[in-house]
This record gives sequence, structure tokens and C-alpha cells, in this order.
Amino acid sequence: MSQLALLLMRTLIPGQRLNRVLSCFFLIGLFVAVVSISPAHADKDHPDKNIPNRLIVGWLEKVKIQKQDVVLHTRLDTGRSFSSIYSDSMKKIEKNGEEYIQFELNDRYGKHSTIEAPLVRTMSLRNHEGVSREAYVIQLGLCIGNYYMEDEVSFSSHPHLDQELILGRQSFEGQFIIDPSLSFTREPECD
Amino acid sequence: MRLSPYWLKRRGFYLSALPILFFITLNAAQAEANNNVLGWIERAKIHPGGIQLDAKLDTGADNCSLHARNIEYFMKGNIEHVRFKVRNRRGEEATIEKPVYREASIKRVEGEAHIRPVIRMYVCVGSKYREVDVNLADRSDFSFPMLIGRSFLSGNAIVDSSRTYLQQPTCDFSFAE
Repeated sequence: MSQLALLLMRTLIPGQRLNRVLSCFFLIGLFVAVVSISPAHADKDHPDKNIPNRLIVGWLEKVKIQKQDVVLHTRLDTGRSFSSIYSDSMKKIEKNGEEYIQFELNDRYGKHSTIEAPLVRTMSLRNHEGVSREAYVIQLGLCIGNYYMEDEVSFSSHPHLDQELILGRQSFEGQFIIDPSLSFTREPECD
Repeated sequence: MRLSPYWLKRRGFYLSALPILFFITLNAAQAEANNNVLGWIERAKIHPGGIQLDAKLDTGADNCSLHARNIEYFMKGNIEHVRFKVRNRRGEEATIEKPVYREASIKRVEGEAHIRPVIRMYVCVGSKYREVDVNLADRSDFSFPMLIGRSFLSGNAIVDSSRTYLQQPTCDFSFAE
């Protein structure tokens, strides 16, 4: 070990009179340095790994609904706490004694899906004029990149401006970090 | 008697410390690069006014918005100006005068549009600042006096929706006096 260190240091720093103890120090220094830099190197090309266990995604992403063909353009909105989706055709159905919501979705890629999702609860929402309406909250399996999550999504009565689905903080907190300068960073691919 | 170990007097020892020092600085630089992570609520400082406000960082909003009270229009020279008051939770108040940069129609979900003045002002969150369009909204029914949208955030910060108040605004606006 010390022989090796001596040899290494002689080649790296020529013209030094060295002994074994000193070159051991050098070797340890080099080792510490390599260990400390290696994670930084691994990070360089993978923005996901900058923060452990967090994915960096854009503020717009493509989201696929589980077991369906439709791919929805989705806004990841830190200004909202809950997620919402718009569909103009939905009805409550009963299957095996449990309540489901059946609704239709068309995406902008020409795909069409009829989705049946379990009803979690019915919310009473009040708008600005004080008129309240019932809003269904359903459980949906969503896929962003290769990350799969189950989320509670409410139906909104107005179509969202440019996106079919909006995800709120509650659905991605602790999982995603949103980079507002990025959009559509990945294609949805879940098993 | 030896006062210090002999290897402390050798140049080789200090040379061996060099790679460690080098990579410690490199890692510090790496950590510095990560400080663009902000929570979804942060303290923002505005200029002019120099007041600190709680702000919601909203990746779903295009622009920034500020809860302004007592909005008055007046002419200064030939230019339309606006004078308004901003107050934070600590009760500090600032009166700000700025030319009207443009007007924006703010659309609520229900569809009725409001015309609000838009000014340009400096906003600072953490160590980052930017001059952005801020619309003077009536945010009295919202919990945060300020909303910061993508016009400030894009390229400046990434938002972690599981955390809040990660950084203090540290910008020095003396250049803009």
C-alpha cells in the first residue's frame, strides 16, 4: 500500500523527496476527493438525481390515464391544492354495489376513451355568487414519465383553458419538483 | 522533545491536502447550484416599496399579481401613474407610485372580466430578482398578498410543493434607486 502510494505520488509530483507516510496522506486525500466528486459526476446529465427521490418535471406534462389510450396535456399547478379534470359527459353508475363515474375523454391526438372510475366522495363547491353545486371526486391512476400515482381528481364545470387535466400540490408534493422553464420533459410509459 | 509531528513540517503533507480542498470547493459550488429550489410559499421583497410579503409561487399562473389597496390613478407629466398601498402580515405598509405599464383583464372562473392596472416592478425571492409585470389585483379573498407566476419563476427557480419558506430575500436594490 505505502509502496504504491509512494510510486503514485512520485509520478504526480516530481522533484519531491518523499517518504511512505506522506504519500499515504496523499493517497487518502486523493481517495476522499474521488469519493466526494463521484456523485456530482453522476448528477451532471440527470436532472432527476440532483435532489434525491424527487423528479424534476416541467409545468406542462403528458399524462396517461391508467389502462386507457388517452394522453392528456396536464398542468402541474403549485397554486392549487387539488386536481381537476373536465368532461362534458359524465354519469353515475353502479357496479357491484359500488358507485362509479363513467365519462368520456377525447385527447388532442385523436384518441377516445370511456373511463369508469370509482367515486370517492361528492364535494359541494360554492362559486363567487354563492351558488353551490355538486362535484364528483374520483380516483384515477395517472402516469407521468414512468412514475405511476393514484390521485383524487374532481370534475370541473368549465373546460380548462389549454389543458385537459390540472394537477394540484396535493397530488405531487414530495414526488415532483416543478421547473417552470420546462414543459413536456418525458413521455408517459408505465407498466 | 518534538513539538510537532515531523510530517507537519513537510511540504508533501500540505500538497496532499490540496486535492481535498479542491474538491470541497467544487462540492460547495454544486450545493450553491441547488439553491434555486423554492417552496410553494416564500417571502418576496418588492422594489419600490422595500416591503416583504408572503407570496404563493404558482407554476400555473403566467404572471405576478399583488394585492393593492386604495388604487388611485393620476397624471404625472403626460404619463398615467397609479398610487396604491401594500400591507404585509406584520402590519408594515408601503405606498408605491408607478407608471401604468398596461392594463390587463383578469378573468375569474365565472367569466366576468375585471380591468386592472399592470406595473413593472422588481421582485426578489431568495437571491434571485427580476423586473416583472405585476398586476394590481384585489386579492382580499386570498390568503397571500402576492402571487408569483412563471414570468418570475421560469429560469430563476424550481418549486417544491412539499416545502415552504426555504429562503430569505437577500437582494440589494440599491442599483435601482
